Order: sequence, then structure tokens, then C-alpha cells
Amino acid sequence: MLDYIKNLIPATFTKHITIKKTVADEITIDVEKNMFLDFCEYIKQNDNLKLDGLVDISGVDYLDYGKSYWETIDATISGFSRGHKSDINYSLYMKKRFCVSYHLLSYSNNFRIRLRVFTDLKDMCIPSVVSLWSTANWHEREVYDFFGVIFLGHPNLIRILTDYGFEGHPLRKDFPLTGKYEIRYDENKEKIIREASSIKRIINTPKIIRKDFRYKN
Amino acid sequence: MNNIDTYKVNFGPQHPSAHGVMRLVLDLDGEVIKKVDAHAGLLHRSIEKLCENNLYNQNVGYMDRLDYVSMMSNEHAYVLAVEKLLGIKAPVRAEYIRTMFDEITRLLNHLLWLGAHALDIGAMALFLYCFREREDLMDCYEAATGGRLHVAYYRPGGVYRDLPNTMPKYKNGNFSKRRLDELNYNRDGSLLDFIKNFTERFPKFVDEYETLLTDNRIWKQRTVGIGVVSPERAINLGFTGPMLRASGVEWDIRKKQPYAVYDRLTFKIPVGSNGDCYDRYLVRIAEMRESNNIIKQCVEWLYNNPGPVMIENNKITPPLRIDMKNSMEALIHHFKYFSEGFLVPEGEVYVAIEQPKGEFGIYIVSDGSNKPYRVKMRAPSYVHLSAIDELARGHLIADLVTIIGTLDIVLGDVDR
Amino acid sequence: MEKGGFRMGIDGKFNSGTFITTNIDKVINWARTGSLWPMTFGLACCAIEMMETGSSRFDLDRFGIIFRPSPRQSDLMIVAGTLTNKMASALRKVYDQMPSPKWVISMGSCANGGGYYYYSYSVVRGCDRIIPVDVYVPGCPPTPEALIYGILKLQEKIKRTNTIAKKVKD
Repeated sequence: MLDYIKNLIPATFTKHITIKKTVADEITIDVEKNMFLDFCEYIKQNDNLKLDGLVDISGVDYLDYGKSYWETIDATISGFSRGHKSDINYSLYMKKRFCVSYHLLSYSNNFRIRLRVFTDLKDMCIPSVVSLWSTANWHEREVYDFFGVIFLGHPNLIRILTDYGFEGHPLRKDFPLTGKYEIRYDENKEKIIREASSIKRIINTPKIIRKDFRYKN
Repeated sequence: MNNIDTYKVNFGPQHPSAHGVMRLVLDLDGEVIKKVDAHAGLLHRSIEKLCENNLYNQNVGYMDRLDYVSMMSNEHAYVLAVEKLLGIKAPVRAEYIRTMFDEITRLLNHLLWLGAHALDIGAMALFLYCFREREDLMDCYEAATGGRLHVAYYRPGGVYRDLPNTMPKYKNGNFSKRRLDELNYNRDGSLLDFIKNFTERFPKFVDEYETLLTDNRIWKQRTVGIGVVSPERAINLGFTGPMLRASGVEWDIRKKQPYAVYDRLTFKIPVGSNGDCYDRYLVRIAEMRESNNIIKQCVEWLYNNPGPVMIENNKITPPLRIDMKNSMEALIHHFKYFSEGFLVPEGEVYVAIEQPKGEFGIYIVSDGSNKPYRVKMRAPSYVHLSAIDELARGHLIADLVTIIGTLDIVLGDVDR
Repeated sequence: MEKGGFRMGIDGKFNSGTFITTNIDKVINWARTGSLWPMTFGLACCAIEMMETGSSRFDLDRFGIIFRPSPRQSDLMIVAGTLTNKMASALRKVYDQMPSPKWVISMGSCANGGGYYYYSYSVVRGCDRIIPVDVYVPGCPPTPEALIYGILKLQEKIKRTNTIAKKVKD
């Protein structure tokens, strides 16, 4: 399957993309931003590929990737403090922080494929695919809402799932889980007001990474 | 001549026939709709961010609450994704149990859809009939898992426990002895006997619903020709499930990319031709009959083939309590499982199943730790709701109610 | 429990008024508890269990309860499901539109105190931050039997209030 698809892609695109096979025979193609729209048009129209169904668009923030929160230096001095530290800097694995994954499906040829486009905080713009697949409208609005990625050419790029007047992009790794504010009704002012968030998140199990997969043969 | 602008009306969050909390801002010209602007997010509970802070097996409970009328199907997608990353496969008996409960869930979903849709359009008697069948199916859920609605039954590695040998019965309250025997007549055997009896009674009930609606002149006037979608437009808009099949595209994940034991069972796929609300109604009624057949086949197999329902690997599934109290390895496995969870190798995976509403997909990115790095749920109701503008233009407000009903939206899925 | 409302009696003490006023109170309370009309305010999964409670097996109509779609014609609001920040202002507006005497039942753990989604940034941690609540029904979701038990407890609470007797005494 992988070689079949490799042969169908013309030479103009091959130096801008990387094709690989991931877990359980899924095919992932990493595409560079400048060739992205042309590549999508090609794979939609080619009769052997005919990827006419866009299933999903999702964003991923690779800020904490591969970092384990189990090590802590004050384990012997002051007792074990649940191992959770909050300093966040760029992870060692990924060169760019954000990734937008497109899942495509071909109804006539019956196979699935995944495209990935990487972007960074310095330049958060990606061309929009609304002109090719109309279903991308709400999916791209959601990725903008949660991560802040801007899609050039989108007809109506505004917040969709978060509150009216919400500031910030919630699914980024540096946004706290409990949020920045909470609301309650004030009897004197007779309206709903916002206050600073007052609860603390209690972590029962820290995140652990051990290269230890003995059950996998 | 004076130019009258369109009039904006709020089809607000609290409305008797909006299925949950959803706000539609309509631009009206008289009674004709010019534009629909759907505001979602009134039930946004940020399940995706909460899932990143929990262990893999703790997230199964969140999946139930996404689409809260078809509970076990959502769990199935998540559990299949985790199993794909781990590289394991559940035992065969567990797969048959999962398939049977998936089809029971499909019946639950379509019965609620039919009751609510008919209630919105005006046929109020069907609501009570459909809920009568739903009560029997929820008794099946309760016998196997203990919960009526949210169950957390599927786990990575199989299902939690095997089907019981007895069925809960009506107790002696204010009933006479004769009435009590009448109510308990099908609860004497095991759960499988009860389900088998249900599958024998069910086709008569579907005939009852069809007599009320299918050839009814008023029903046809309210649904034929409303919300028509051509096949190319349906594919481009991302429709899946009965919405796509009613427009004429033969696409069903159970046949094309089968999972669980669907490739070993025989069933048919109903496909419509016109793509309007009446065709979608017929497709869903036919799907209810096919689900009945599938449940019958699963029950036959489950009678004849006992076996384990969880894989034996104790690094992924908890050991039995008897073993935990007697053996040192089981005690260590129990401790590590419940304090740290299991570690999943690095990678990313996307799994899609045929949920009753359409294609439900889960995309998991893992970085080798005991908590998922990113969980994304691809919800069919989200995609269907985004198309409401195109479907409702040029129709009247009463048709808008029909269209919302036929899209089969559940707001827990839209807003996650 | 609004200030200066016609109905007080949060203490539950049975003020001994005269014979006539206590009996008028009993009649008023019998009329109020015998036909509580709730407004449909189902937000999430608990709404499904509320619909089941009103349907074939656990019939709510035998208690005199009919679900009304409009807030102006109802006297009970059952908040069933998770309340989010975006929805809170609509909830308060609907509560203000209900005529008094009015009561609120909070159904399910999400409406009681945030529930399963307590740590989320977009969830109100209990609907009693927005409106005053009379009865809390726990569960996720509460079974129909639990909801009926909660409604019966609310009926007992209503029977403990006295409107005519207290007013005359003051």
C-alpha cells in the first residue's frame, strides 16, 4: 500500500513531503506548508487516490512531549512531593510546536490516510481547505479556538465552542486545566460576575515514562 | 419601495423542541428562513483536556458521557484505539459480547430518535411506545453491568465481566400474584434468554410504528422533499451513517472496514434514493430490523461458546482478587495497575466505528507514558450540525424543526 | 427563597396559628404539592433519565406532574445536567421569568457541585452558584426511582411551609 501511494505522487511534490507507515499499518504524510494546498488538490482529483472525504482535522501541541514528571530533586531532602514540576520548555523531540492533522478517506477506493502540517508560534498561518472540502469549515474553527492556528482563506474564523468573550486558547499545554476565571451570581449587582479561579488541581498519579514494554513481543 | 430587512429570531437554548442546549439565530423573511447561524458550545465541558490528565483506563467513563443516547459505542471506539496502540486483541467471546451490545445500543438510539422526532412533528403516542421498549433494553444493560445509562463496561483487553445467569425480577409490591407472574414470564432464565425473547417480540413492535407513520398522509407531507441532499454534496459536507446512506451512497464501516466480529455475521445495509427526511426515516426503521437479526446471531453463538472475556496479560488487565490474595506476582501487578496504570508505546492512531448516528472516530497521540498525550473525538453530530445552514435555507420554521430532528443531534457529542 | 416572598418558612417550624389559618394552609399546600408543574430544563444525560421518569414505566403523571415547555406556566425547575459558563446567563434569565412560588430541584452530580467535570475551565461548579436550590438529588445519572424520591421529599418540604398562618401572626 505504501509503495502504491509513493508511485502515484508526482515529482513536483516528493521533495516537500515525507511518507511513512505508523502503528498498525496507517499511512502518514508530513507536508510542508507552502505546497500544502496544491498537494491537497492533487490527491482529491487523482482518480487512483480520489480522497474525496475529509473526516477530521485536529491540532496537537507538542510542548510537553516525552517529558516525565516523576523525577524530582527534593525526594531525599524534604520527602517525596508527588514529582510534579511546572517548568515548561520546549521538548527535545519536535522541532516545531504545533501540528495540524488531517484525516482523509476515499469512499471509492476504500482507504484512509493522514496528513500532518507543522507550524510554530512565530508563524501560525496555514492555508484553509474549505474550498476543497466544505466540512472543513467548523473543524478549522475548532482548531483556531483551541490552539490559535489561523487558517488563511476561511470565511468565518471565530470562536465556536468556548464562551463568548473567552480569552486564551484552552488546549495549549500552558493553559491551566481549571482555567483563569469562574462565575457566580451576585445578589447585590443582580448579574453574573467573573472571579479568579480559586480551586487547586490535585494530582493523584504523575505522568511516568519508562521504556518498559515487556508484554510486547 | 421600502426595503424591509430580515428579522432575527433566537431559537434559543431553552426550547421544547431543540434537542438539548443549542442556540440557532435565524434570519427570517416572513416565515421563510434566509440564513441559520448555529451557536454550539453551550455544553462544552472540555472532555479532551480532562482526558489528558487521567490514566488510560480512567478515561472510559468520559466516553460514555459524550453521546449519551448511544453509550457503549463510544466506549468501543476508545477501547479499540488503545488496543491498537498496545498491539493486543480481545478474546473472541468478548468481541461477540461487544457486537451484541453495540447493536442493542443502536436500537436504543433509534428508538429515542423515533420517539423524539415524532413528538416534535406532532405524533405524540409514539413517544410512550418507544420508551416502553427502551425500558426492556435498559434492563439488559443493568443486568450485565449494574448501570442503566452510563456503564464503563468495555475495557482495554475485553469487557469487564461475563453475562449473568439470572435476570432481576419484579418483586412483590402492590401487584396481585397473577399480575406478578405476567410481568416476570420472560425473566426466569439468564440474560441471553431475555434478549432472545426480546428479539422475537421486537419485529411486531416495529410493524406497529410503521403502521402509524409510514403511509400516513400527514407524515408524508411533513417529511417528503424536506432537506434534500445530493450524494456528491453529502460526501463533501462530511455526512456519514444514515444521513449518507439515505442519499444513495453505499458506505457502512461495518461492511467496508469491519471491526469486532462484523465480518462473520450476515446482515444487509439499507440505502435510500432521494436524500430527504422521509428516506432517512425509512433507512433508520430498516436498520432497526437488521440490528434485530444481528443480535439473534450473536445470542446463538454466545449460547454455544463459553470462554474468557478478558485477556490474561496482567500488565494490562487487573488480576482476580482471589489470585491477588494468594500470589505475590498478582499482588505486585494489582498494585502497579491501580497506582500507576499501564504504559502505552509511542505513536498515534485513528480508529473509526459505525456509531448509530454516523462515523465516530477517536484519534490518540501517545508519548510512551501512562496518560494519553492528546485525545480527539470526531463526533458525527458536530459535522451534521454544521450543515444545517445549507439544509434549511428556503424552508419554513416548522420545517426547521423536522430538519433538526432528522439530523439526529445530541449536544453532548457536538460540544464534547 | 427570594427576599420578601409570599412564602417563607425555611426553618420548618410549625407556627401554631388559629384553627382556621392552619387548615387553610393545609389546603393550599395540598393544592400546591398535588400538581407541581415542572419546566423542561434538561441539559445533558440526566435529561434522558428525566424523560424516562415521565414515560411508560415510572409514570410521573400519577403524581400530577405535567412537563410544561414555558417558564411562565410552571412552578418547578429541574436542572438536569451540566451547567457551563456559556449557559449560566440563560439559566438565570429563565429562573427570573418563573412566577413565585417556585422551587428548584438540582438533579445529578454535575448540577449539584460540578460533578465529573469539576476541574474543567468551562463548567459552573454547581448550579447553586446561580440560583437557589431546594432539593439535591445525587447520582450519575440518578435512577428514576431516586428522582421520584427527590420529588416526594420536595412535596414534604412544601407541606412544612405556612403562608397564611405566619402572615396573620406577624
